[in-house]
Amino acid sequence: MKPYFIIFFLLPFYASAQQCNYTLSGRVLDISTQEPLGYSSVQIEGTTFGDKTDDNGFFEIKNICAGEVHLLVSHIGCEPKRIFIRVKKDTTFTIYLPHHSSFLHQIDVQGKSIYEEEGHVISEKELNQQSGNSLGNIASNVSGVSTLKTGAGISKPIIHGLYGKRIQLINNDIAQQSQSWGNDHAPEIDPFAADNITVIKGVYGIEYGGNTIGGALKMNSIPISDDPHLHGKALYSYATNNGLQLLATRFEKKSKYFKWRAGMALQQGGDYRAPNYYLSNTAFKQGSAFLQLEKQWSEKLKSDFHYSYFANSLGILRGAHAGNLTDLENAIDATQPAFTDAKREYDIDAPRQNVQHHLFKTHFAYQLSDDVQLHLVYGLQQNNRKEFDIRRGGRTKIPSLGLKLAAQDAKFYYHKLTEERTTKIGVQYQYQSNTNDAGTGILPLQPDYQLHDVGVYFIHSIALNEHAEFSIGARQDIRNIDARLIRDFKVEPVVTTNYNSSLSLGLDYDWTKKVATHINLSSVRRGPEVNELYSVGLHQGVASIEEGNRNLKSEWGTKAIITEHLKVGKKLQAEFSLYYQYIQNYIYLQPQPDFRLTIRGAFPLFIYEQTDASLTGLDATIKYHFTDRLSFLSKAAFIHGQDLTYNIPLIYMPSNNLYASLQYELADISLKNIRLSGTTISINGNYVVRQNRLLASQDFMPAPDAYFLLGARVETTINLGEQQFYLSVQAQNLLNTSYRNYLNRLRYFADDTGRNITLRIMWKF
Amino acid sequence: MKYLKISSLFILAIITMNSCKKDDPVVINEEEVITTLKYELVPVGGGATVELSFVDLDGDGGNAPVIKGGTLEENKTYNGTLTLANESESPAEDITAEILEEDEEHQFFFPVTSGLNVSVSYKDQDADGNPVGLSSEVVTTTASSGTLQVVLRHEPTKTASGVSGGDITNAGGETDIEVDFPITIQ
Repeated sequence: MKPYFIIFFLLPFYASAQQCNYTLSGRVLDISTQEPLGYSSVQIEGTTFGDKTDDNGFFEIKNICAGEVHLLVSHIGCEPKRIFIRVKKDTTFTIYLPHHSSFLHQIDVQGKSIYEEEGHVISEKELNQQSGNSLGNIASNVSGVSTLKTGAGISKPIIHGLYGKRIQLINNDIAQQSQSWGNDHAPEIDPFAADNITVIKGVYGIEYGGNTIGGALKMNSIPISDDPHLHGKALYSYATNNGLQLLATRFEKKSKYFKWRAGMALQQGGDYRAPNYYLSNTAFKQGSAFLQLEKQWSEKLKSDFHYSYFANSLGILRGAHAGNLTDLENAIDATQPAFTDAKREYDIDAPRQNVQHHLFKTHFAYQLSDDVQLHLVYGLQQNNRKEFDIRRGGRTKIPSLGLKLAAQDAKFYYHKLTEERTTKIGVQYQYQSNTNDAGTGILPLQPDYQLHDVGVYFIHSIALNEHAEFSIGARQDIRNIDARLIRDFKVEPVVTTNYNSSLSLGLDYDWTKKVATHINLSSVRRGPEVNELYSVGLHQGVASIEEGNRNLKSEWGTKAIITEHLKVGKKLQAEFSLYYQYIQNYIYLQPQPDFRLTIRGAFPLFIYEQTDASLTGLDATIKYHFTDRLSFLSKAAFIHGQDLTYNIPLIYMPSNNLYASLQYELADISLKNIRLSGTTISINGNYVVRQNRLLASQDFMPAPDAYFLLGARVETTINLGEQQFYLSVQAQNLLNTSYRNYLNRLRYFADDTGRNITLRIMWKF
Repeated sequence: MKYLKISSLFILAIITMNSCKKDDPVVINEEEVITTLKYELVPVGGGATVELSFVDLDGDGGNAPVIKGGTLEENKTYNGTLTLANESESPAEDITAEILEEDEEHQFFFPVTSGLNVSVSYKDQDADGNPVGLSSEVVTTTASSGTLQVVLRHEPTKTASGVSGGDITNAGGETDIEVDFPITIQ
């Protein structure tokens, strides 16, 4: 019956479609400061109709025909916004433009600020600018975020010194479940499928699962627009360093019965190249696709469905396959890795990884009253991972590690939203089942297990007055792990139960429109993960044996972050964030004094142990506008990790780094129907300090030297009627500098990648 | 509301179907493991046969391996034969045959610590005419003691300088075996 109702509703508009004497007027404001944005362009797509806003942000467009129009609103320093309107009379409205710079304090677009929504937003524009890069690499552009890499192809995000299971990845409101315990296991997420990504540096476990003591990366999709026309984008990119080609598309439309959005991306790259040699066997292939549906069933009930698929196959540097400690020492001494070919290959040989990830989500929301909603979310995931090593007796084609993880997640929550208060109360059940491939011929590194987790949570935020907002969140989980180990040729069942709890407090204070302070305090208990308890085996890449420890207790992290946002005049914007985290019973791999003797020689042995640790750091971002067109951006991150029990540095802490860029934006150029906008030229430099906080006994090799990388970008958008073409050329490591990064696990074997020029063409319609 | 009911029933069905009992894992046979290396040295022209051995029946970890060195005669030539087996399986798996099948991809090396007066040379070849090392000749000179190492490299560059003569320096590849035997010559 709904479709008939809509048709009936639309009839009056069609009847008056010929009249062309309406006026559209309104005001353009900055979404975060509410300040008027003068000299914004408000253009009706596909026509010459348009206006520039005056000093107070007002605009007026006359002689508009009745019917449907697309407005494109843009302003220097802001992300352009596209608005769809049905004109049936003179209309006045306010347009809020979000800042395009990622570092500014963001408030939830719906206008309600919930402390967990606060974070650094990587916008759609920035995602397009970096298409083809991995999630980890894209996130590392935010100050305080870095990556743990295994060569150029595998990168895991590190937020304030923590990574792996300590960081939460939220994909479409579902906590991503995969084999994230492995240092060489990158997130199975295609960032191109997201509309934007939020980087949260505070503790973020409350709503999605109560077991993370670090920050989070959240892939967001914005609601599909009500626009009845097909819109979308298609992107092609080519990179010179590894011959990478990427083809990606996405479409969305409101159809008669539901709204839909779908997309896919395919990419393939050959071997990467360091300045002096090819990094043989680092080729990869990746594909992803997604489908999203939204349906308003009635005035009160709506639902959305999401399915996404991700698959990749990637090679790991052939020269990084160390059979034992002698091989590793030889590799460290060599000027060039073993097995280096003279040309780029696209073949993917062992050692290699094949990964597939399916995610299905459905969400129902029911409007109980004006300000109360009930939500039901269900997620189903399957992660398949196969890793192939170089093996004897024709076994290279048999995976040496094969894992299947099935995960389910069901959540029911109550959400009350009023002018001053937001309350969420929820209950969640999570289930995981991890199964090893029995045909590998190698005892599994991580056992088969089943995990059940039931959690209850509560989140409340309240606007105390027009300056201050306070929020509190608490969560309690009970987690049961039933693992089936294989020891001495027998199956040994081991069951553990953990109680994980989280508490988080936040205070936002806007002193004036120019200065805001945000304080977040949190405390989380995290039960040990399966790999920390029971893993056993050899890590080929670094020639060392790792063993779990069944006696581990929960790790307990307490973190305080204080963030200052400043705005001085129209020229200077800055953000400083200072944090301290104390972790009691921090779980880490401790090198053992005795080597383990095997037929391949003696191996260093690492066992998971616990200590007390602290992480202290500062992230800073400063943006200065010399003029409306010329701006300077600088970011810096410092971190100090300390093992408090033994009074030694914590290993794998990101190096301190300093980034600066200078950007010049040209005026728009119009030629008949063609308009060039957002034409910018920028140059940037990144200086990474040597990690001096590392003892000789903590690593096989001293930390690599400091390095400086130069980059540049030229980009423009060609507007042709309702269509936009985005073009960009980006250069990374422009000087072809040879360097090694302390957080790249292949630093023992090879230099990092050399110069790379990326060309991107995007068609948006 | 009909859709909601159907959807919730569907969800409930998935939850109950998937959360049932899980089978115990299969205890995997580690076919590739080498538990036993024997280096039999038969003296030319009579004398006592010496057997050097490395035995680690439970594989990596668990109980420590048992290594047996040996005493060789001065100024003597021995015919050396290497045998490899996986004795964690029953019957034991012959790994020597596996190496022989892929002999182009494998080569043994016999580095000696300075002071031990022993030299080892190859007595076998792969299809390309390069040495393998399953069969070797061990020549002693004057009384001394030290370590004889047996190294097996997978995918070495057999054509690199010195490699076919038994010099491991330029061999590359990765190590499958690296065992030290204490040796006395008297």
